[in-house]
Amino acid sequence: MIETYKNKSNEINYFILIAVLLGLVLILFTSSIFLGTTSISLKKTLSAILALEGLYLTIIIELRLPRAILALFMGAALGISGAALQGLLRNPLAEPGLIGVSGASALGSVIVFYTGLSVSYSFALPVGGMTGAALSILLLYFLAGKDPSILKLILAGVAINTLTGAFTVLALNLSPNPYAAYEVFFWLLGSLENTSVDHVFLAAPCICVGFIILATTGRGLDALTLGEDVARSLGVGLRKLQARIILGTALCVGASVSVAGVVGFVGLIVPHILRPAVGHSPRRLLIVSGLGGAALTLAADILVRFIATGQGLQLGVLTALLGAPFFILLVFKLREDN
Amino acid sequence: MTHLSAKDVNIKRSGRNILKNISLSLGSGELVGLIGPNGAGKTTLLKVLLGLIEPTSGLVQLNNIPISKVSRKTVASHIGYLAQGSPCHWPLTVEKVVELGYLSRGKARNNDTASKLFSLDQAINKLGLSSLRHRLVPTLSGGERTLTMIARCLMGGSPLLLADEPITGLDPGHQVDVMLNFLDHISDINGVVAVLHDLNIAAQYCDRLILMDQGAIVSDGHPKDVLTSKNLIDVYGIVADISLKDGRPLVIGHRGRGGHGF
Repeated sequence: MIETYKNKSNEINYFILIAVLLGLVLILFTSSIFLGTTSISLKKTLSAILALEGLYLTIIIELRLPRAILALFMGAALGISGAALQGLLRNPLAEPGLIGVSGASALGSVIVFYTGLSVSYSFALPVGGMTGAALSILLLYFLAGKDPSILKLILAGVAINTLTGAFTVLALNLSPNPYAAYEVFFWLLGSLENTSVDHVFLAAPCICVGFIILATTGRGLDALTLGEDVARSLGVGLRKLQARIILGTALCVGASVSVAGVVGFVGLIVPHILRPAVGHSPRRLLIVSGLGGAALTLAADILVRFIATGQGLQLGVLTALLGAPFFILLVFKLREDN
Repeated sequence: MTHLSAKDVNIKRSGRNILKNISLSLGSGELVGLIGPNGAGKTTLLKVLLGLIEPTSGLVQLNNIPISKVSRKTVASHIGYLAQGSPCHWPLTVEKVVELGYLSRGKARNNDTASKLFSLDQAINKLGLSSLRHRLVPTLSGGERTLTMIARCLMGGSPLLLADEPITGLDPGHQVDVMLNFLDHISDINGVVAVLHDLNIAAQYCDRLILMDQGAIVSDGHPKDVLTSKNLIDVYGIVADISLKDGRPLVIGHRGRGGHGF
């Protein structure tokens, strides 16, 4: 009996799942707007919006709303990037943070920050992040080869993480201004705390384009389940698919990291939880992981406001604390499967 | 009609000739067995014929058009591919994997080239998979996996099917099952090429065998003309008793390379 149960899929109706996740995102988004250290009741929120004035309205429009929007976009970007990378590499451990994409984006942003380009051109920051992300995926392909095993993938990820980490630390080390180094260090931890409307305008369009590119790779990813050769025999243009996923992930992760630092593990946890619910279909996992990622990031960003309020716990630290045990669990599971 | 041909195809990799002057012509109406020792280049030849590997020199043509000039989608609508070991990287259900065959159905297919198109239910039932429909493919036995992948190819409706070692490692029951399904697929518009290691199964089910050795085609023709004692000694290094049963050779090998007894 146990055997038959295990062999069956635990699939949930796709559209019900999407509706539930959408509802969850909506609730968390609304909560994110009126929950915080300055408590603003729903009534006050509404009256502030209706009256179009006052301190509360300023807090909502200039602080809470951009923060909530960025959490939503960033979470969606990280969730769908994780799902897409896992589909492309056919490996549940492929996560932007673990395989070095986030680290490379951070390095790209840090370089832009230090060269002063970000002062003259505000869009230089996300461009730097995206360039770093794209280069790291190309490097990953180069290091891990085609059809990479888990071991090769992780080793390549470690290599890229070490490399980008070393250069990032070098930049911090050589920083002429200790205060600037401190600021970069905190930004690297990953936080949405000091984000503004400008950040939304900077990141949101890139993430939107990246999300759409990734969301349309589903058929190819489904076919890739059967291996690269069979996928091509089914009519999938492999090079084009790889290029689209590299571009989409670079846009999503690069833009997210450049405005809010490294928020890790979202792309690992979310697809892992949701995969059985979509019957392991890489195509269906895409949108669903985007929504799940948005929900997780919104929830985590609400949580950090209440834990250790005085110290200001960083969002990236919280997701790492949540994600690391998850990663360990996944390693155990993979060991069992083998 | 789907017609696939290779002309003087060579593949060189790091100084080694993996394929040497391969010329052949494949089409509908026949079940072709591609045989030869390990490393003879059979898998590489299938991949070249599918356009997955570019030959170093020579030409592969699909319906008289160089395959490199044909879009992947069009190739998919003509040729289906069963990969060695039927890989499936995620635990998808049988039904979902069979459904993936849809991907290779071309939008603008000519009706005269189209083989009979199966619905999902038909494809699953035809291969006797209805009881396994909701099982996860990685939990299936090798034979069940192969049948699932054949159903996936039927679903795609591509007339020509290239199968890489479809019965290797299967029990005799599943071996016969797979071969009978191939025979059943053969028609005026459909054809199958299968890489096989069991010479007797190859002789029994195929009307044409292509024998390869060290990247070259040694012999191409009816089983009784291909499975000769000279070819078996030259290519496999086995001294064999060859008898004819219903006009098809039956091979019993006696001595391997180096003169050691079995």
